[in-house]
Amino acid sequence: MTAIVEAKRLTKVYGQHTAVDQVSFQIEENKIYGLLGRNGAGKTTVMHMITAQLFQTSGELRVFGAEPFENNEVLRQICFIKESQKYPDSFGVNDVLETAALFFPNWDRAYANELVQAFKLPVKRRIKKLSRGMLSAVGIIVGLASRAPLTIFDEPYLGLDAVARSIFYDKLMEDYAEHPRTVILSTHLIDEVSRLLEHILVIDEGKLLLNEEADALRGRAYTVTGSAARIDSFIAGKKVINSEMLGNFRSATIYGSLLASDQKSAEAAGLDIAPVTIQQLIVYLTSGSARKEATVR
Amino acid sequence: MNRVQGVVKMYARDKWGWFYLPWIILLSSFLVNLIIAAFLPMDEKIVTGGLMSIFIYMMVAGILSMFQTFPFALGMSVRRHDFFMGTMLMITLISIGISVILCLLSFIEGDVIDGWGVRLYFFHLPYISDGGILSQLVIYFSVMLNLYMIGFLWASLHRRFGKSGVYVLAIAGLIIITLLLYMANYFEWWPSIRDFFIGFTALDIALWLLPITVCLSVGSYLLLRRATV
Repeated sequence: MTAIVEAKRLTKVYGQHTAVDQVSFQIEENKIYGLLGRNGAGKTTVMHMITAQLFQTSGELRVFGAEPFENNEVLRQICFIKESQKYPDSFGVNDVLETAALFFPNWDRAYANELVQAFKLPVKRRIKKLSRGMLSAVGIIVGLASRAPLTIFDEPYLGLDAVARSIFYDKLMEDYAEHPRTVILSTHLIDEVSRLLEHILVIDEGKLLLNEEADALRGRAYTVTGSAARIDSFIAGKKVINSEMLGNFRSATIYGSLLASDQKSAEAAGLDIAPVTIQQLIVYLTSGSARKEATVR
Repeated sequence: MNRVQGVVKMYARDKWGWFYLPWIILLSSFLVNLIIAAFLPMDEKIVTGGLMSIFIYMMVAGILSMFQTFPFALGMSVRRHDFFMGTMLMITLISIGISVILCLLSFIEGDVIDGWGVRLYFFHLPYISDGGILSQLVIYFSVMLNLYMIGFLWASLHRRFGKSGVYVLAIAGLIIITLLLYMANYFEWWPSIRDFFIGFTALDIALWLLPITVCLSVGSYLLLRRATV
């Protein structure tokens, strides 16, 4: 596997605040990555550094095997779509698409037009006059039609309704199948995209918390529910990341894969076992109280 | 596709901002002057400074290219160097184009329809037009480029160091200028300053302006290279 992005102890410090703290990871070719985490966790900062729009304070970063800063060989292979993208005031939708055609070598004009139709975008309208959802659609169209070997979407669908979001997921999967490329998707809507993601990186408070294949993560935690006393004996010695009491019942989420022996003893004790979605797992891992509990136990 | 050319093409998509608006501003100023000159019962020449409007517009264009186009260009995966070179190429071409048209208008005003028949001198100005059409071309070009670069440098400073950088420079600049003015008054430098400048033609000044413009340009490149969005 070829590494498209290689980060080693990547760090970004703003004054007193460490936004990204010694993060190391690799992004491999032709996979879809989810870069997840709470607001202010440092996701956007990492993506800005990969695209040389921000400079790291320390650490090493190689994109397509080279430093991305002022490097056309690297930059022309990247398309970075971000929620906060600014456009010139005078530009209309078609101006943005025509400009994208100038700078992205794999730009597919016919495909861009098809996407404009799918998202029902008014091409003549000025960017300034677009609604928030339409503005997001412009970014998505640029991101998909650029067919850049490394395409990064940072919260690409602010203001997009559920229908438009599902168009985005469908088009992304369709086009990804025909034109494989590396995609990094950063989002809060983890449940919606988790079926697309092949690999998941979770950043929390500037640190890399998780770096796993999505499939491995799906079986990484489970929830047991049953009477409090039996749960207590079942979870002894296990890493509990969340637990809730409801009357005599207790439900505990356990971090770790479910062993056959555990499953048997749970069944014998009359405990219910349910899988934990990736979204739930990440919420547990990144919400302060659960994290503390996890470390205490 | 050459990415520097791409930046020029990206700028050129804004036809309104580069090709129409400067002329609309200039021609409306000209029209007002023309109407006044036509109705004013005076035999004297009317010389106005309305031409300045298009030059001031260039300074604003310099600020806007940095504020609006730079973040967009970076979003299009353009590297800073190519953005800078493309911007310089674009503004050079625009300045040449505008200067040629202005010289043409000046020629018409001076030699074809003298003062537009109402003794209005809007394009053919004393001092600036003294050295003939070619020197006028150089003057317009140099001043226009200079004003654009002042706007561009100012906005680059803001991009690189934020508001505080601009404030620090503005305050420092004001203090230095105030001090210099006081010194000029105190030591009675004014007559010698006047004598110094009186020796130069407008063309001399325009030519001296070119290296200054290059310095501004290098300065903004250095700021831009480390600028983030």
